[in-house]
Order: sequence, then structure tokens, then C-alpha cells
Amino acid sequence: MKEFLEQTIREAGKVGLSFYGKNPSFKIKSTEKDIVTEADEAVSDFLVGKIHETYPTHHIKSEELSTDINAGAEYEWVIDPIDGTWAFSKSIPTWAVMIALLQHGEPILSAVYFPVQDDLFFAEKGKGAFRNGKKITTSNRTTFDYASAIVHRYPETGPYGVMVERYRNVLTRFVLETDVSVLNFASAASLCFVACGILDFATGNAGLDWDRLPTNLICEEAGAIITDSDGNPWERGRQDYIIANPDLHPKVLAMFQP
Amino acid sequence: MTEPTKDFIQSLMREAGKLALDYYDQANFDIQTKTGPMDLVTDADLAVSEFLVHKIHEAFPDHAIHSEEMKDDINPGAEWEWVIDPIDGTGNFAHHVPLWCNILGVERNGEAQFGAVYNPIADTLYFAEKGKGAWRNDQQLHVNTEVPLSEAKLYSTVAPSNEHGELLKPFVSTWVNELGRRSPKRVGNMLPLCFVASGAADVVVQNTGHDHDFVGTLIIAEEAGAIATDLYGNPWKRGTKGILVAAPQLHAEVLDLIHKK
Repeated sequence: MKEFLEQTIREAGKVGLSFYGKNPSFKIKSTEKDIVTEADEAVSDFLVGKIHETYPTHHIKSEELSTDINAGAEYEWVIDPIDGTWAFSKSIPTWAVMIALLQHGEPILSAVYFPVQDDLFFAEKGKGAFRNGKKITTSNRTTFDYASAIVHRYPETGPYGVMVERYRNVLTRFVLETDVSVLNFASAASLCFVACGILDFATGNAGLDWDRLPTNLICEEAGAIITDSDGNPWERGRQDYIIANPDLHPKVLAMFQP
Repeated sequence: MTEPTKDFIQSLMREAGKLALDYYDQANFDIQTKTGPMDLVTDADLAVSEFLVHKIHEAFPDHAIHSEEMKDDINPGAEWEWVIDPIDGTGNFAHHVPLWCNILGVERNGEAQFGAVYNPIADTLYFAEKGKGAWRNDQQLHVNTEVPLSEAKLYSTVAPSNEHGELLKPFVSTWVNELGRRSPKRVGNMLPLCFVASGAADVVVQNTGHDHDFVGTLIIAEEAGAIATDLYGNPWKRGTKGILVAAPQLHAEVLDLIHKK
């Protein structure tokens, strides 16, 4: 299944890439930012078709699929065909294809592929995280000095965005009280950059299962601690998250305390 | 050739970008630290600078050339001046994040005539010519003139210890707490000025950056319809620290917000 995932996500990336920069015709889903492009549907159709053909008994959940296939099966594929559709629509190259595979509800494999620069992040439970085949680990920065991070406060928009006030406060605190460089690459996939140490931590308040599961396993296997913003181990369904190396995690969590 | 042309600049930028990409695709970089861990200079930066300076000097031997990576300007004071940031976003470049670009601006008697910003990874060239408009590859760009302040997308880089740092900290706080629904974004380079041109962003406020960052980028935002000033609403001039670039319906409101007591 590992080889299948790696090969299939690369093929899916090619499908997405064939639409990129071609001004695909947009349909508005729930808000301006939540744009579904033809590409999104094409990539989803490709992936769902390929996975279902290869593993006809597996559960498949895709952002672009209105009803799950084989809900309740032992293996579950969770797909975000194009994460960062807004970036995609504006010719910004940080969008990605993301897939997580779960067995009995536990993530066992995960892949995030940035097609524009042919960049593959991959993780296998217990075996580590890899970027283009090279093992990756989180940064070892222990303080906020020179730290780079994503601090993402998203407004309540359709199903997205929780604890807006809490995140409003924490973003303000990071900007005013620390020298942390707060970056934003306009995709949930960019949380992979915590796994390889480019970013020192990430926290945010928006994202559904297909946004969280693929990057979580990659970050976890790279050594990150992942909790919700109350400090509890992250659980499926939570939109809020704190992802950081073990030294920084308590410091990030402390920023949420009054 | 006596005067620079669109074709010359565009093909030059694509060549420079290709050279940068050769370095980017190599796995390991020889990174020297310039002023701190956030400010990385790679071999690529130097190579792209040398390439551009050489090509421009060969074609226009009496023009001035200013590059981030060159200690002394060539022909300072000449009528035409080329201003280069060989690789903007070196931090992203060094870590293989696909948001970095090559920036080139051309001034005549101190006024920007051409701007070019190239992101080689996606072969995306932002280009502007004074009085003629702005483009992303072959698509003409226009700022989003529909968006109200409450929906505006802000890209903001505030360095607290830089000039105007104290002015901008409360602005960011106000934006987060009272006004904009969206988080201020930061990507570690000047691409957001091109994003304003394409409607991917609506406002850019920052107190970081140098001449080589702005000569080639502000004209792209302006030619797409944005208003570009310093943080006090005055026209941006060489040497000015701090910029406010916004869609026309937003500029005055954002300026008020910055100076609100």
C-alpha cells in the first residue's frame, strides 16, 4: 500500500498540475475562499477511482465526495484532492494533494505532495517521516527567538473556524509580545514545513479531517507533539491544533493561558 | 539597443530564474549567514546577481546597476538604472519552500519604467511597464476594487525593532481584533506586492525591505491599479523605509488605521 500511495499521489499531482495557471472556471462552494475548481474535482475523481479499483472494500472519504464509500471498513483513505485551492486559483505554488490511510481509526500512512516543485512528504507510523526519501525531523529551537511559525486565526466560515476569540488573542500576543516571525503559506499542507524544521511550530483554528490527518502523521513521525489548544492529545474532529517540537510545545501552549 | 525593452527584460529574467532553479534543485546548499539566521545568502544569490549584472552591463554599458549582492554600484548617477534583488526570499529558497523570486526594476531619471518579478518554479513572470499595465505571464492584472476593508486580505511584515516598528504593532493588533476578518499573512518575500496586482491580496503593510526590493515590485502593483506610498501616504522614494500598498478603495482607510491613536 506504501508504493501504491506514493505512486498514486504523484499521478494525482500531475492531474492537478494540468489545470494549474490555466484560469480554471470557478464555482463558489460556501465562500470566496472555498473555491472548488475543476481541478479539485478531477483530482478527487482520479484518486477515488484509483483507490476504489485497487482496494474495493476500503472506506474512502474525500473533500469532494458527498457520501463516503464503504463507511465503517477496516481501512480508511482520507483525501484532500487539492489543499490550498485559493492559492491554486491565484497561481501561488503552495497547494498540495494530501492523503492519509487509517486502519481501525489509527493513521498508518500519510503523503502530502506539492506537484509544482515535485516535493513529496511521506510518513509511516513508527517508521519516521521523509521528504523526497530523506528522513526529516522537527527543528530543535527551544525559544521564540528567531522562531518562524504559522499562527492561523480563521473566521467562522461555513464548517470551518472554531474558538475565534481565543485565536484572535493568541495571534495578537505572538505579534506584540514575541519576535516570532508569523508566516502563512495559504495551505494546510504547509504544516509539513514544521516536520522538516523550516517552521518551528504551528497553531490554528480551522480544518476538517482531510486537512488535519495527513500532516499530523508526518509531523508526529518527525518528532512533533500534537495537541488541541487545550493541551490534550489531538483527536479527530478537533479543528484547533498546536504542533511543535517537544521543547517549544509547552511554550506555545502557555501563550493560550491568560 | 539604446533603451531597455520588454522582450530583453523578460527573456533575461527567465534565464536568471533558470540559473537560480539549477541551484534550487540541488539537495544541499552552501549557506552563509549574513546578518542572522533569518537572512541566508546562498551561492545562487551570488551567481544570479553576477549573471544579471554581466548581461545588463554588456547590453547597456553606460547604465547604472545596483544589486543587493554587489558592494559598489556600476555607473552611479546614470540616466538609466537597473536595480536587482537576485533572489528575494532566500530563507524560503534555502529550505525549499516554493515562494521566492528574482526581482528587477529599471528606473529612468529616478522614475520606475519597468518591473519584473519571476517565480521560476511555476514559470510565473509578473511584469509591468510604466503607463502600459501589469501582467502575470500573458494575463493582464487588475487589483480587486470590489473588496471592502472588512474582507480585505492583508500581508504584513512588521519588524518590531526596525524604523516604524512601534507605529505598526498597534496597527496589526487593531487589524486582528477589530477589523479584518482574516489573519495578516507573511510569506517572507516581496511576492505579496504582485499578489495585490493579481487580486490575491488587497493590502501590504511592512517596515522591512530595501530599494532593491521595491523598485521592481511597486510598479507592478501600481500598474495594476494599486496605490503605493510610504507609511504616511507620501509617494515612495528611494531609501524610504516602510510601505503601504493597497487597492484604491482601501488605501485611505488603512492609512487612517495606521495612524489612529
